[in-house]
Amino acid sequence: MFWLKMKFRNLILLLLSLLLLASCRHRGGVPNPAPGVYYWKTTFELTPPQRQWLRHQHIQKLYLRLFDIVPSQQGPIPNATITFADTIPASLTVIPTIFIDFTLFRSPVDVRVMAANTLQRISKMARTHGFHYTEVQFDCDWTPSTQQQYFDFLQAAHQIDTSLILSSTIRLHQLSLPAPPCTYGVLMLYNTGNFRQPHLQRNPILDAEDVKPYLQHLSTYRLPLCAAYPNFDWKILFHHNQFRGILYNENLSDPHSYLPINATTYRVIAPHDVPVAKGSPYIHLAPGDVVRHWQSDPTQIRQVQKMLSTHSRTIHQQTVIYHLSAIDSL
Amino acid sequence: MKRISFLLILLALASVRAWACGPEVPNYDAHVFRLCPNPQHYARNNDMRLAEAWSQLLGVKVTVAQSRQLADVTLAELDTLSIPLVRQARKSKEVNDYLHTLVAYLQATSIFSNPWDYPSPEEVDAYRQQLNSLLSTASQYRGQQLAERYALLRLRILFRQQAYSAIITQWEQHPLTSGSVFADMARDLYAGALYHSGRVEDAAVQYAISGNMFDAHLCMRGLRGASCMSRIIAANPNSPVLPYMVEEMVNGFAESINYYRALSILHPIFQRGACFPFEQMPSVRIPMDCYDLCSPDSYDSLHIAHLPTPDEWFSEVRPFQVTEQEILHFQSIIEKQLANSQVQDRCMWLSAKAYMQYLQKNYDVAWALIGQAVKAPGTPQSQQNALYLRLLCATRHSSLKTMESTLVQGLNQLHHLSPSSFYDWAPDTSADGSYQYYSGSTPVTDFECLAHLVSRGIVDRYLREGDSVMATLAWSLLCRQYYSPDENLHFHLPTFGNEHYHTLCNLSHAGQLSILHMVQHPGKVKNPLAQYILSRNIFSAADYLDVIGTNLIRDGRFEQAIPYLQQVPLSFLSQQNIAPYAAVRNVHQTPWECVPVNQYDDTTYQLTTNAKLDYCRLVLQVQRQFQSATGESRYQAAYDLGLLYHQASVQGHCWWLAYYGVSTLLDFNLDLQRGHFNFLDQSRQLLSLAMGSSNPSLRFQAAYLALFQGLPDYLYREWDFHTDTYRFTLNTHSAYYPLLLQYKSQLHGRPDAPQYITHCDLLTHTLSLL
Repeated sequence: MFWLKMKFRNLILLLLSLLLLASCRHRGGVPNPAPGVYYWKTTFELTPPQRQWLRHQHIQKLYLRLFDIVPSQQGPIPNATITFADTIPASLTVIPTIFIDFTLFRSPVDVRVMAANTLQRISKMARTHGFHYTEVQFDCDWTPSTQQQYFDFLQAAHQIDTSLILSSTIRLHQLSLPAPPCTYGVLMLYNTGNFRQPHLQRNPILDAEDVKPYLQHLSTYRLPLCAAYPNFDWKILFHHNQFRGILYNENLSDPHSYLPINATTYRVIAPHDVPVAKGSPYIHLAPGDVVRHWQSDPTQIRQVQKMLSTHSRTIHQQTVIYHLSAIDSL
Repeated sequence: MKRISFLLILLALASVRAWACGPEVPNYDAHVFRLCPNPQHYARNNDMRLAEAWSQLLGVKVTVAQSRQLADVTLAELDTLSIPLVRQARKSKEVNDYLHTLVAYLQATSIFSNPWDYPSPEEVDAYRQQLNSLLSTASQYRGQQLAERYALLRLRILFRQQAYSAIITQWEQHPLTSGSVFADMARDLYAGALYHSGRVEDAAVQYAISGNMFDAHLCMRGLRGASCMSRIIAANPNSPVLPYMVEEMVNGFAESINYYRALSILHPIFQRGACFPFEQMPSVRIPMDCYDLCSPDSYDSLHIAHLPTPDEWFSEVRPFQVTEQEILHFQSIIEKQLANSQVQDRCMWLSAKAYMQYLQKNYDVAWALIGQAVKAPGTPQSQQNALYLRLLCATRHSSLKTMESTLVQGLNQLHHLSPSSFYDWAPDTSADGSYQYYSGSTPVTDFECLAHLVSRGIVDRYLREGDSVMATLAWSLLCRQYYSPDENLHFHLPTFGNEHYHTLCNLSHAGQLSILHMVQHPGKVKNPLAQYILSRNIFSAADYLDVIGTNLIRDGRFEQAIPYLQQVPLSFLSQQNIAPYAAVRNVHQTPWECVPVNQYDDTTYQLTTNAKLDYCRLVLQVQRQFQSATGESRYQAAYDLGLLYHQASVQGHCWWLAYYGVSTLLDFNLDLQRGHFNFLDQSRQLLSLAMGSSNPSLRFQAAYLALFQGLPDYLYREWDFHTDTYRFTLNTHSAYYPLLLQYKSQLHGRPDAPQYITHCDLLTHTLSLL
């Protein structure tokens, strides 16, 4: 098991390196293409392995989630704002990234006010924490019914600061919808399956079969795209075939606690409690519970990369890795 | 059967995520095993304790609102603020200094009240400096009087500075153990520091000690199950988090039984005697319409929905689903705990054992165990829980007298234990002086627990004993929460959702009179439980007299209604929510002359006559006229009586004569379905007769009234999604259909038709469909 794990780890590291190296070979749609990575945690604190990885991979762009925007009784408000326990390396270009809960667009929203509030808050955060930016990215799982308000929001943001580059994440299902009004999109090539299903055969992090149906839209998509690939893994706990949570940093190779059933499935054999996130409340694992361990699979990533390249010559001008915190567990 | 129906309805409701608009079925299946304080009480309790602490310190009455006001004032405003708290504080330099430091802290930490704000570097620096300065000030205090307050303030500042290790060190070196509100709040900050330091379970213990079960619950979420409990007991058999875990386990067991019992009623696969079969759930389906559930034929209904899975069911309720294996493990834990002399809260473990026996219908065993539990040592919360469970077990005692005496004694005891200032209606301190209902801190003053005891225990028992009068009376124990003491609002017995009223209406006339007699002569009541209930009853005899009279009108027993209605004071009627209708409408107005009523305006009505009483007398008079009349005068009497019957029907504009409320939820044939007097049918027959008059005016009036009345019965209206218009269909089976044909052939298009008919576009459209 250990050997297998080491081999897997090396493979994913090697592949990610190749992907990042392949970035910025061409000039085209995405402005200033450069290897990038997402930072999605609520506390910014770089570990030594993360700093080392950033250096070794020559990462230049840090897509840094600053806060979410969520609906509330008072209208859209920021939530889960990042706190800074560390300084941002000077070598990185910060791209403030804002997650927008798309459900807020289900009701009428004053998008001009929301855009002004958002840009002003980003500006204040940049000033307080001493980073410069020329681009802002929005991450929103918009749907046909919420598309108009999201697009209006992007246009409002552009009108407020025309010098700012605006980008948007693009989920695979959104490829069949009109492109958002921004400079470029980052195609999210992860979370392609439903990890809450206990008996999944395909890897829910990324499986080429789940990407195939959307490829037909790629060549005609009216927005320059770059690709974001996963490097994380999931340990999903099921109790009586019902999803209970994602485990944090759990050692599935402990023979006293787990019995391996197959390459991705482990059965709990001894009761114990584990945290679901660092410093978070614990979750109880009972004998008979099942943990499905899904890892970003280099074979699948390579296959998807090939498929995308045949449909878009420019999509790999820039590659972004999701996400930096997963480096610690690789 | 009632319980079964309820479970079935509940199950159906659980299967339907949201009801767009409709009545909610009351949920009496509350989780009544309560070892932890209600989390909602914690903040309110602390507010009250803080206000009380100010009162004690200053020697003047300080309200919660005044205490809270400190968070909204600036230091500049503080010097000019004229509330007792501040005025009195100015008299002592020591207190005044503390007050200024506290307000400075509150002001410093509230600068970012707009969620979109983000501090500039200068603001961050200023904030840090201010916190440091405040910390320094708070650390300089050397007195005794305000030592706890300053200690709490220091911890609050350190928490804002995220100096968690400093908080832990300070607490562990100088813990506050006085039990004051400041000590509890300080312990919460210590718990928060533990949480942020990754010591989540330690944090849960500290939160549990301070009574902050909301945060304890957050820390403990996911930590469930008997094996987890065993691990915690191994470390400390008296761990403060055990009440939380035991409560979750026992209520989870109760909820699992509810779920699988409901399933067993629906599907024979679960009828195997076991309470909780835990195999893979088969794909069972149930009818969508909950009102069809009681009919076995409806299982094959085309309108089907998925049965809620255990996950769907349990996602709606806090306790988790427990397995048979877990229960067996839990039972062995109980035995080990009871055998362990180090265990302090024996009451808790015995109560758990007793209640689980009760849930499994081993009532004699449960009664014996709960008797031991109430005598065993335990925390006040455990003992109150045991007292409450004893009342629940008593409702299953073989002797009715034992049940009644136990309930009277126990209910009084629990009421005495709950401070009256903490439950019932109280001014809402956060708002505009309106009243807010607060559940109490003991089980019988907590509405959910009381409702469970009344519905599942007392009412159920009396119904099984065949005593529907006592069952009806018992429901009145739940009425307090519907009635605000706010003088601007005055509600009466007939209220939506009031089980006492609804069961009273379905009681026999003799049963209603029994209750009236008890209300009028409580001193003559022998049954001790009835005496207790009557002592808590908030309704007057006038309420019952009015309901009895109104029900008799609804049943067409107009003459019998008179003696009861005669006793209802006009002052009482003037305060009813139907008073605006009684004030402006009368039975002689036809529907097309009807006056709209705003039930919610602020007008105070002083009724000068009892409209229901007048109506009864008028109906009796016109009935006599109709019976004796001949010729043309008989047609007129038929119309007059038809109009009177129409008015009191659910279709009439004087519906308030026979009902306390009507809505579209009431069926057109409600009168007929419930076996009440069929106002509509009687009216239709009389109007049909009146249409034979030779007087054209009378014929038009009778015909139009009949067609107006029968509209919902003979004309169906559906929205056509293709054309975005209404589609009308005639019901040729309606009893009104022949009248429609008769009108068309004899009266339609006549030049002498009155304006109220020629202007009716709906009638014109309906006739075009013929």
